[in-house]
Amino acid sequence: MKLLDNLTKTHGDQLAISSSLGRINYNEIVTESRNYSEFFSGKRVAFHSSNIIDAVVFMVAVDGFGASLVLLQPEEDIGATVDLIDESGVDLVISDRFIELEKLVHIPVFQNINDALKRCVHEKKVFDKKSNTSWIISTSGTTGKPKLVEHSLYSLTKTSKNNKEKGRNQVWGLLYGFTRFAGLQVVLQSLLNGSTLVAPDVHCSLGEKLSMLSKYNCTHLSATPTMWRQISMNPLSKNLSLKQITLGGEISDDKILGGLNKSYPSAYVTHIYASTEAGVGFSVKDGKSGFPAIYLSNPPNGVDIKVVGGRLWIRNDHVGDKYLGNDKNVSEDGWVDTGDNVSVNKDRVHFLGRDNGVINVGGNKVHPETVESVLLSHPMVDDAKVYAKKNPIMGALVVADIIVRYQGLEDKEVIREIKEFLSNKLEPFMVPAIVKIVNGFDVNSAGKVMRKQQ
Amino acid sequence: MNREYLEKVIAEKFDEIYRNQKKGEQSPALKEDTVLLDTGIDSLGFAILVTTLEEELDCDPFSISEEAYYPQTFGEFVDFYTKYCKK
Repeated sequence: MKLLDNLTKTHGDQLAISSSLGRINYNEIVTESRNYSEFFSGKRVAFHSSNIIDAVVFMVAVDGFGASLVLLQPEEDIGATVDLIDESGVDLVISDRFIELEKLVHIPVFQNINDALKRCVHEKKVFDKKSNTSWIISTSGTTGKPKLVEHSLYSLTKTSKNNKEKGRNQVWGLLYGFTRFAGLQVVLQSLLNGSTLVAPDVHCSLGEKLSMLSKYNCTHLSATPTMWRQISMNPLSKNLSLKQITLGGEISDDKILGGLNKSYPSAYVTHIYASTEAGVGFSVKDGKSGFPAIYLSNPPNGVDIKVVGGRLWIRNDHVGDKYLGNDKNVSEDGWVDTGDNVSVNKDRVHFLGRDNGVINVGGNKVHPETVESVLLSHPMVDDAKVYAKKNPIMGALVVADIIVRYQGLEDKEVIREIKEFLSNKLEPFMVPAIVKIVNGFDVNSAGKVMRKQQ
Repeated sequence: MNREYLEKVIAEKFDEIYRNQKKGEQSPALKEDTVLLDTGIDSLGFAILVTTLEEELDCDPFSISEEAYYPQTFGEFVDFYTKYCKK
């Protein structure tokens, strides 16, 4: 079912979105997007703006009419955005940075949908009322070049509830960027349920966001475990009266799950396992870390799960999702290797982290090799080993052991100099919190440096 | 380790991380009721503080304690360390 058809079933006068920039109800979304859907029919279009209300009208207008709907990250570097626009092969872009973008791409750029419609009024076309629109979102660029991943409304909302009677009383809070996978799922869930979505500007402080959420009586809130710890450390968190708490994007430990249960005794606490690659995941509702081993034989939501050699594999009965631009379908026989290591202990499966050594610092992924290569570019560093250290606030932090070339300086001075060098070249979360000078590394039987997790 | 000593070490490390994050800017005075995340230090800075203190004190109350507790003010933070880092 099209997103538009879903929205016509909601209570029209219900507030759909309240953002830092404005408000819109369901009737207004439906009326506005109906004006645009004919224009978008058959087109491949990209959206690049931080205005969530415009974004939702755009999504409702394009889904089921346009050929593809590409959501670009508004905060992404403009050069990377241009590459993604070229790669996605879209016919036009709607962007709040249209002046900059116009000079850099070869396709039309409009500042909003209305502008696009006005300027293309003479265009002749066939109105295709039944299109299976591809939803294309870009993965975060923190691990290198951002990539485009193809989804569909079906795959994005597979685990969503569609209960407009219950949904009417729900107020969903949005703490993620709405073009991020996790943010988009919150937006779509709120829309499908006909609920109210409260979307504070991403640049607001946490205190301002929490104030806005409690002002609108937010009942449903989703965030990463790191964000939940940050919320727990903010005195304004006691003003929230939550009914559903969701954690995702990182491994949830028993402490944060227990802490949330204690602070919000009347709320359900659910943690989600999902990977962008697999397109969908599953949720765990018993308030404990990991997931019940029974999921391996009796999986939730029609998603098959297996553990092979300590690795988690998922089979989604609707795998259509693939990375664009490299033709390589991530799934093999329908099974997707998630790259996540797990341990099975009797009746519980626990997450251990990524197989490729990628360090998840509060939801930001860091490749140790990236940090190592910057360390090695420093004239004093002879060899470097970067790995994760467990951290109760961010899940993990980056730490480094280094072998230095000469010993003219005090260790403290060397470390200070190297940290400064790194902070000029890397994002703050990539800079090792601790740098240790060592005499040598542990090498395994294959002659490889051991990458341990402390 | 007594409370006075821990308070001194925590304030020192906080100042170091704050200056690092804020490019040398003077860190605010920490009072008992100062909310740590309101000082301008972000959760990455807070995470680094906990890890740096673990290196310095050889003690991380967040992993030792059985209770699910997240201190909000500087006073609560120091109390948390005083309770679990006795050696």
